[in-house]
This record gives sequence, C-alpha cells and structure tokens, in this order.
Amino acid sequence: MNKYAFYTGCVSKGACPELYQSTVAVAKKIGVELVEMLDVGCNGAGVLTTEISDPINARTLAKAEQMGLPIMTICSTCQGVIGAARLRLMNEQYRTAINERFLREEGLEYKGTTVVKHFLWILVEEVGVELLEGLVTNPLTDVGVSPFYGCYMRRPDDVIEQGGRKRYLEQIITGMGATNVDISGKGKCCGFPIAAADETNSLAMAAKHTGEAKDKGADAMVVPCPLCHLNLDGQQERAAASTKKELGIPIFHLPQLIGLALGIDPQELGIQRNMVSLTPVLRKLGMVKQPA
Amino acid sequence: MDVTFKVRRHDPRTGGKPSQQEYSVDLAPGATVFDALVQIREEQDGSLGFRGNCGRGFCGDCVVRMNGKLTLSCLTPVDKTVKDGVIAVEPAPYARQTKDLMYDDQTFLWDKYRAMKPWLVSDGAPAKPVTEEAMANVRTMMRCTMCGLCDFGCTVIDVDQGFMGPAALTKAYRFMIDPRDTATKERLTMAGEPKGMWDCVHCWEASEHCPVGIDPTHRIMDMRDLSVRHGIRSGKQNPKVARHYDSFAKSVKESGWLDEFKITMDTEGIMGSLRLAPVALKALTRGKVAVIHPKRSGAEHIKRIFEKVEAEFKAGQK
Amino acid sequence: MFDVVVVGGGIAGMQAAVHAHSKGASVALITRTNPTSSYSITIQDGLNAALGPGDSPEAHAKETIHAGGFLADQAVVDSVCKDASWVVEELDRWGVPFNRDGAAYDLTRLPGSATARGLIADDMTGHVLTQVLYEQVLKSGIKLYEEFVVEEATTEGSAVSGVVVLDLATGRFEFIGAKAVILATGGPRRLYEPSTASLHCSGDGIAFAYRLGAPLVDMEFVQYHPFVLKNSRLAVSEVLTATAERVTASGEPITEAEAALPRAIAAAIAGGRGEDGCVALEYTFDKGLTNRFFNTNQRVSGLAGLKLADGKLPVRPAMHRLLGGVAVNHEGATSIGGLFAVGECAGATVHGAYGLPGNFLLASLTTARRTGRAAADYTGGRPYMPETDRMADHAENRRLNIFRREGGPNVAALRKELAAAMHQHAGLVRDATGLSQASQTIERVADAYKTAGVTSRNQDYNFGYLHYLELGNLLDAAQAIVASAAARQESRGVHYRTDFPTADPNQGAQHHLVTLTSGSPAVTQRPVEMSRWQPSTN
Ligand SMILES: Cc1cc2nc3c(=O)[nH]c(=O)nc-3n(C[C@H](O)[C@H](O)[C@H](O)COP(=O)(O)OP(=O)(O)OC[C@H]3O[C@@H](n4cnc5c(N)ncnc54)[C@H](O)[C@@H]3O)c2cc1C
Ligand code: SF4
Ligand code: FES
Repeated sequence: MNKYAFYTGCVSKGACPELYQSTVAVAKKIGVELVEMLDVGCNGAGVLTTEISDPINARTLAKAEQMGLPIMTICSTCQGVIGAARLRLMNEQYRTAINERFLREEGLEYKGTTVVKHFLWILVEEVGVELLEGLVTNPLTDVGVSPFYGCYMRRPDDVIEQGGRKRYLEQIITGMGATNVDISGKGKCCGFPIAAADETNSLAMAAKHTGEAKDKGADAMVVPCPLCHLNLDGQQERAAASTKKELGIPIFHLPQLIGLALGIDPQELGIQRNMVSLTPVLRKLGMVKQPA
Repeated sequence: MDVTFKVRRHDPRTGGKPSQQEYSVDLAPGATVFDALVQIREEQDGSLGFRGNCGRGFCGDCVVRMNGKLTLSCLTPVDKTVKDGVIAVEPAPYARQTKDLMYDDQTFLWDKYRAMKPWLVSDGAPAKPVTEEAMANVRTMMRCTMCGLCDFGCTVIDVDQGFMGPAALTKAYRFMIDPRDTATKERLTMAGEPKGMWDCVHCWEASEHCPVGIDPTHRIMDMRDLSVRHGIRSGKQNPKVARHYDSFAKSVKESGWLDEFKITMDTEGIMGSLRLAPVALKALTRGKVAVIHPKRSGAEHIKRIFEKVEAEFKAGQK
Repeated sequence: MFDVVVVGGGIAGMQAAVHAHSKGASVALITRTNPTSSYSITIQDGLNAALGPGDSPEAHAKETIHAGGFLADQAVVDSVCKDASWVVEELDRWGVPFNRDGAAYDLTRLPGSATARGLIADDMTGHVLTQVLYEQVLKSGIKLYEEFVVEEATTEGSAVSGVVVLDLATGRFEFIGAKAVILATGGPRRLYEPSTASLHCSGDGIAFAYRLGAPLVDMEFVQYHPFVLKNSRLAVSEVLTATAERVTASGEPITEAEAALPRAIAAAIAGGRGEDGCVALEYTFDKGLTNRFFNTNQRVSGLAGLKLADGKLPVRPAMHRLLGGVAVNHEGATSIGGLFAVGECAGATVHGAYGLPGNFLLASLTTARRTGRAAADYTGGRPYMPETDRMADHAENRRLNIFRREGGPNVAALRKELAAAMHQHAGLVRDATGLSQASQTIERVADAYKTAGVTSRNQDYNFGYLHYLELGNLLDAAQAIVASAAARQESRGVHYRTDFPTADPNQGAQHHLVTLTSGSPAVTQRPVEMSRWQPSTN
C-alpha cells in the first residue's frame, strides 16, 4: 500500500545501525514498502554550506521524483535539511539555476514535486495511529516514556508545515500503551550539533534533558532522530560524569519503541546495540525474567 | 477593567528573598500589560522595577513573563492575557535579576553586542556595489530592538550564558552583509571564536522567538556559509571547528556519505579521540559504527558538485 | 570632569556627542535610559533632504518657512536645509541603509512637501538612525552613563559648571563637572494626554535651562499628530499615509491639511462623528510594500489586533511635539555660558508655527552637528571649574526632605490633572478663558506639588522619586507654554485661538520668549529673522 523512497541518512548506516534495522522491521510489519535510495548523498546536515547542500539535495529530490515516490526520512536533521532545501527549490528560478548548473550534466532535472516525510509523520498521517494500535500485541503498559523530538521536528514552522506534527510522538507513545511523561525540554536541542565545537555545552544539554526525564519518573525516552540518539544515549555516560548527575535512562529509537509493542523480537530491533541498556524496560514488561 | 497583577518582586541589593506582590488596577480599554505596570508604578508603588520606555515595540526593553508567556509586554493586550482576572508577571529567565522584573542587561546582552565591534568599518570605497537589495537585507537586520527574546529562547544559553547568543551574532551579521563594510573577514574570524557562531546548535528556537522576523537562526547559518565561502571557517582560538568542517566536507565529497569515525579522528586528533575512546570501544563492542561507508554509486556526481562550488568560492575569495 | 557633558542619548544628543568628540573634546553622554531606548527610536517617518532631481535647499527652505507661518528664522532654516546633504552623506558613511531606488536614494513625498525629499529606512527611520549613532558613540569611546538621571544643570558665576546626576541603580547622587553642557533631553510630551510620549518625555532640559534663567522660545506651538492609533501612542507613519490617504469620520471625508488637520479631526470626534473617539484613516495599501511597513504592521497587530493590509485604521490626534524650547543661537548656545541645547528641547526656530514631517529629524541632526562642534570649540583653553560635592549633597538633602513627607497628594494624580487641562485648554484649540483655567490648574498642581509625597523611599531604582522630579520639570514647561500662548493673541500654524481666529502680521513678526523672573514666567518678544522671504511675497 504505502511505498516510499527510503532516504536512510548516514547515521543509520554507521553509528546507529539499530535504527536502520528496526525501521526495516517495523515497516515490514505494518506493510510500508521501502525502496532504499542508494545512489544519493549526505544532505549536509546543516554543516555543509547551502551552496553545496542545495544541489546535492536537489539531486536526491530529483531521484525520488524519477522513482515516482515520496521520500521517507528517519532522522530529524535529514528531514529538516532536505525539507528546507525543498522549500527553497519551490522557487522556480532557483530550481532552474540548480538544474542547469548541477543536475543536467547527469541527465537529471528536479521539477519540484517531491514530498519529503519523516517516518513519524508517515506513521501518524498515512498509516494511522489507530491501525498501529490494532497491531499492538505487547502493550508497553506502565512504561513511562518521555518524548524528545529534536529541533528539526519542531521548527521552523514553514518546514514543519503542520503544527499538529509537534504532538505526534505523544500519540505514538500512548498508542503503544506506554505512559507519556512530558518534559519541558522535549522540543529543545539534544546538543549533538556542537559535540565538536563545544563539548561541555553539548554534554550539558544531553544531561539536562535526560535528567529531566529521569526526574519526572520516565523509564525511557523516545527519539525520532539518530543524532539525538547519539548524544542522549551514546554520550549519556559522559554527560552524567561531566555534570555529576546520576542518569542511566534508556533511549528508544522511534521504531524500536513501536517494534517492541508490535511484538517484534528485541534482537531484531537492535536493542542490544543501545549504549544505555534497555533491559530494565524489558524487565518491567516481563520480557526478561532474571532480576537485576 | 479590573485586573489583579501578581508580580514577582526581588531586591537583591537589600538581600531580601523573592516574593510576590498583588496589585489591583482599573485599566482603560485596550491597555497592554506594559500600560498596567506603568500605571501601578506611577500610582501605587514607585519601587516597582521594570524597564521599557516606548510602549510600542521599539525599545525592546519591556520583556517579561506574563501568565507564562515571555514576550514584549507593551504589545501584549491585557484582555488577551488575563486569566480569571489575574496576570502573573515574572522576570525573564537566565540573566541576573537586579530589581523585580529588571535584569542585568549589560552582561546578558549588551556586552556581547559590544564585543562584536558593532560599527561600520570602511577603508574608503565600498566592498561591493550598494544596491537596494543589499540595503533591504541590512534593514531587516536593523529591525532588531535587542529585546533579547532570541537569547531567552536559546537552547545553548539555557546551559551556558557565556554563549554570544543570537542577538549579538545577528548584529555581527548585519555588518558582514553591508556592502559598505570592508571588515567582513575580520568579523567572520571574530564571530568564529569559541562561544561564537559555531556554538549554535541551529535549533531554530531563536527564529521562533524573534518578534520582528529577523530569523536569527537562519542568519547564523548564513554567517557560517559566508565563513566557509571566505575560506575562514573558524576563529583563531577555534581550530577544531575548521577541522570538523573540512573532515565532514571531505568525507561527503569523497564517498557521498559521512564517516563519523573518521570525522572524530580528524576533529579531535589522536589525543582527543583517546578521551572519547571508552565510549568508542563500548560502541564498537555493541556493533555500532560497524559499517565503514563504502563508496557508493552516485558519489562521483556529488564530488562533481563539490568541485564546482569550491572552485566558485576560490574565485570569489580572490 | 569632562570638556563636554551631553544630557540625553536620543538622536540629537548622540549626534552632538559624536561631533564634539570628533573635535577632540572629552565627552560624556548621560541618559536615563539605554540610548537605543530613547524616544527617537519611535520615529517612523522620514528625514528631509533636498537631494532629488530639480530640488534644491532653497526650495526646501522656502517650503519650510511657508509651512511654519513665516515664524521660522530664515537664516537658520537656510543652513539646516543646506547642511542636509552633509548630514546624509555622513550617515550613509556610518552605515544608515536608507531605502534606495537602484543606487540612488528612494525619496518619499511626505505630506506637506511639494517634492519627494523624505529619506527613509523603511518605517523605522528613527530606530535605524539611533542604532547607527549609538554605534558611532561606541566607536569613539565616549563615556556613557546609562540609567543615570540628570536632576539639575549647575552654574558657577555666569557659566555652566556641570550636572548633578542620580544613579538610578544605586540611588546615589553625583556631581559631574563639565566646561560645557549640551541639553538633549527631548520634549515634554507627558504634559499632554493623549500624546505620543515615551516614558522619559518630560522635557527635563527645558526646565533645567528655564530654572537657570535662560529664555525659552516659541513655547506656544504644540503640534499634534493627526493619526495616532486608537488607545495607543503609536503615530501612524507619514510614509504610509503618503501613499494616498483619506480621513473619514462616519464615512464623510475630512479635507483639511497640515496644521488644521488634527483640529478638524478633533472637531469631528467632538461633534459625535467617528467611532469610539476615533476617525477612520483610509489608505491604499500596496502589497508590494509589505516589507517597508513590517514594523507598523507588527505594532498595529500587537496593539490593536488590526492588519495594515485592511487599508483602514482607527485614529485620533494626540500631542506629538513641542516646536519651541530653550532659546539658542545658530550654534546651539543658550544665554548661559557653556550651556547648549539641541534636538527637541531646543528652540532652534527652524519650524516656526508648524513643523513639516521630515524636518524634525533633519533639524535635530544638523543643529546637533553644529552644536557639538561649537561646544567643543567653546571648551578649548578654558579651565575646569573646581570639583565640588556641594551640589550632590544639596540634591541628597532635597530628596531626604521629600522622603519625610507623609501622605501628601499623589504625583501621578497631579500629572494626570495637569495633562488633561493642558490638552483641553492649551492643546489644539485655545482661548483666553481656557488658558486662564489652564493657568489656574498649573498653580493648583504646583501648590500641591510642594507637599506631594512619593510612593517609595527606596534608594535603588526609585521610580517614584523619578516621577516626582518629572512632574516638577513638566510644571515649568507648562507655565511657559500657557504664558506664551496667552500672549499670542492671533492664530498661526498649530497655535489656534478661537478668540483670535486669524493671523496678525505684527504679532507674526515676533517670537515669544519666556523667562523665569522672580518665580513667574515673563514673556518678551524677539523679531523673527526674515532676511529672504516676506509673508506678502509668498
Ligand atoms: C512618533 C513620532 C514620529 C516622528 N516622526 C518624525 C519624522 O518622521 N521626521 C522627523 O524629522 N521628526 C519626527 N519626529 C520628531 C522627533 O521627535 C525628533 O526629531 C527627535 O525625537 C528628537 O530627538 P531628541 O534627541 O531631541 O530626543 P529624544 O529622542 O526624546 O531623547 C531624549 C534623551 O534624553 C534622555 N533624558 C531625558 N531626560 C533626562 C534626564 N533628566 N537625565 C538624563 N537623561 C535624560 C532620555 O533618556 C533620552 O535618551 C517624530 C516624533 C514622533 C513622536
Ligand atoms: S534578533 Fe529579534 S529576538 Fe533577538 S534581540 Fe533582536 S529583535 Fe529581539
Ligand atoms: S516598551 Fe518599548 S518595546 Fe515595549
């Protein structure tokens, strides 16, 4: 039924293979067909200048256009950066210039029609939370989960397009039977973008948001962005050390959370690859027998 | 209209504790929260500390939190804000409070602004032709009232008030895009130092908070682009940032994709990477970072795009 | 100790400070607010300069003099219009991004001008000019005293010796010695209700000079802005209304122009036409100019929940600007040695009986430029007066006495009473009876002021005390305005008397000077300088 040009981004193919794994597993389970885009490049992630990244993204958009499919992303940053480029490329003059200067050489042209959607949006808008709920075999009862969006899933408004999208994670959390534990920092930055430029601040942000979730009594957090995951999960130990705060809160990738509720084998969701162990959550769900 | 204002009061000089004081005022129709505060101060309590002068969105001094919402009080009508006859008024966050709703705006905002060498530098002839298009862009930047809302909304300031912040950075940008200014490179270097533009996480909060459409986050990103275009990339004290950019660009240019492991090595150097080694080791044992990106099809086209743009940058720098 | 102390950080004060500094003087700039919060920032209109094709400083001067009912001193107008090109060139060099049409300036024809000569920076000319001047102040390293209130200018013998300041944050008084003091405090808008006042508009400089015995000039000319947004202080930009406007009261057009327009609008409202105390300002909104009116749109929507694009705004007239002030010569010097005045608190006699939109900024900038330089020259070779804390001690004692008062009249209530009377009797329409009523109100308020208390006895950030000082200053200006208005028994420009509804050529040839003489205002006359055009020649 639903078929997408799957833009994996770099991280799900590098530091977060579990995101790729769990996405593919969940997509299969819910009948979303993914055609992986292999011959496209990194979107620039807000690091590369737009002079370079816009043509690269125009190329990606053109490839999907050729395939006749909308693009599905699984990363807030990919979504935000390609989404913003797409908006700029709506301007015909600009699009023509990019086509002429960069794409024509390989016989490509972007006509401005490609839609780009994050997996989260597709789940809510096209698959539907109700349908997902119907597939839940292993409700995450009594598991408190804090949503954490990543900046690019909240702002800027013109790229997000619909205000309602800022509340999708909560719908998924409750839809999967878990309890939504709201945190004030859910729309803030995880700190990843400045891991190189200002490590102290980067870790402080990670500590702040994970700390808030922990203080509010969440058992885990869920992120729709592998970069957030790298900072909140991957760097959590160091964040805890640098702020002398007891943390230790597991971080779900969005499809890991869903997959678990849909009864997919945790191994298949790559849960063992998370840096902060998800075992306490599994134990709470009765999926791990032995005590701590 | 009768409204009760519950105002957070605090006079750190006298060493007292913060408290809340209630004032009831009878307001004229159309009154804003700022009007109400003025009325309270003039008629009832001359010790109530708050800033603001113009009452019409120009001075940018009147930012307070009103029933939870942080914005200019002079453009906030009372009737749209009042809940059950009450408006709670609190000071803006982060900055050191000096009296009631007033904060140390010098340290929080203006010192950073002044550090940006905020005046036009010209060695005579304009650097570029002075066109209406260029002037219009400068004017958009100059809508800024230094209200500080972008800084109050900033995710980085949330953890580090030493960050230059979007307000000061957009001021720096105002001069960089002025064709009459001839100090662009110097400014880019200055803004590229630690705690400057590369500390921005581009979370777009600032853009969401700015009441006059300056879109500070975009401007910081524009500034970074400008910095790369000029071949500067970072300040003198901030070489790591340039290494990070170069490594990132190189990775994408060569393979079409990012290689996080190599970027970390390039950016941090051997010693820095050792610092990260425990995390890296753990990651490896968990099967993370396992895939080293193979060069994919399409990579040569991406390389071609890079080369084309880089050649243009080079030509422009001359 | 400074060569030059400038009181007030608006456009005029900063321009004077930068130019005094450029001539080698050591300069301090003292402001109640942050300079970028001065009243000047709210100016949304333009800056006149005869730069367009076919335009000339002479043509500009002629229009200015005509519009001002021949009450402006013509040589002064002449030099202001001539200096315009200098000032604009300098501002551009400092970074003002005036609107352009291609590479040339895009000039707007502001109401009252036959020619397009208004330079604009969208709808925030004042905001932009203020920023650029502040940048120059920072660049030059001028010493800034921000959130310091000047309480008095002081003299030693016949010459100025400095100022007494109150540090708002600590409540401490301080004497700052100076060879020259430039007053740039702006005008006394808070004397009227409604008005376009910012909070700091109490015209303090006028009162300082007046109390030192310096004459004030043209004080009877109080100009109202015709289009001030309902329930607010926002004057709708002339740049907007320049795009073909129509004012209607209950659907019927009001056709009067310039000085007569605010009066006509007020009359229509008083006559029961209009809605909610407002008339409708109708204009054609060019969507292509959305960016140009970004600020206006944002303010209008914040203040009144309206949209500019609707082409219609509810407005009413409000006091906008005093045309007179401390009498100065063409270099900004007052009658007191070393005391100068610029900007709105100065009576530079540029505007006469009506000020054209776009001329205020120009007059402030050109005269402040001259004055800053002249003040620096004045200080050359002059010794400093001996330092003394005497004045600060005096101020401290005065405040102590006021703090001791128990339960006197409320300062805010007194100001309100005063402002209502001024609007009613010394505003758009005047007559002998009204002016004498205004006089009585002033006396009553002045009497009550002697025993008025303050609502706060704090040392630090005592705004109650500040309001107390303001009222004192406003009372001085009020006296002078009413005395001057009573003495002018004719109608001219914005001074309109129902008991003398026409112009009288004899009175029109004289300025009125008001001097504080044994505690009361004494009005004398000074001939208007008319070296170039005579009223009859038109
Ligand atoms: C809405 C509006 C629109 C206008 N539009 C135009 C226009 O389009 N074109 C035009 O030419 N003119 C215009 N004007 C005229 C304009 O008012 C003046 O040209 C200009 O504001 C004069 O500036 P200033 O520096 O004299 O005073 P202000 O800007 O009022 O500055 C006064 C300064 O003095 C300080 N101060 C006051 N009292 C004290 C004290 N006791 N101690 C210390 N500091 C003190 C204040 O803090 C402030 O910094 C407009 C005016 C208004 C109200
Ligand atoms: S950029 Fe916008 S939000 Fe930031 S200080 Fe300026 S006006 Fe305020
Ligand atoms: S009072 Fe000036 S911006 Fe609000």
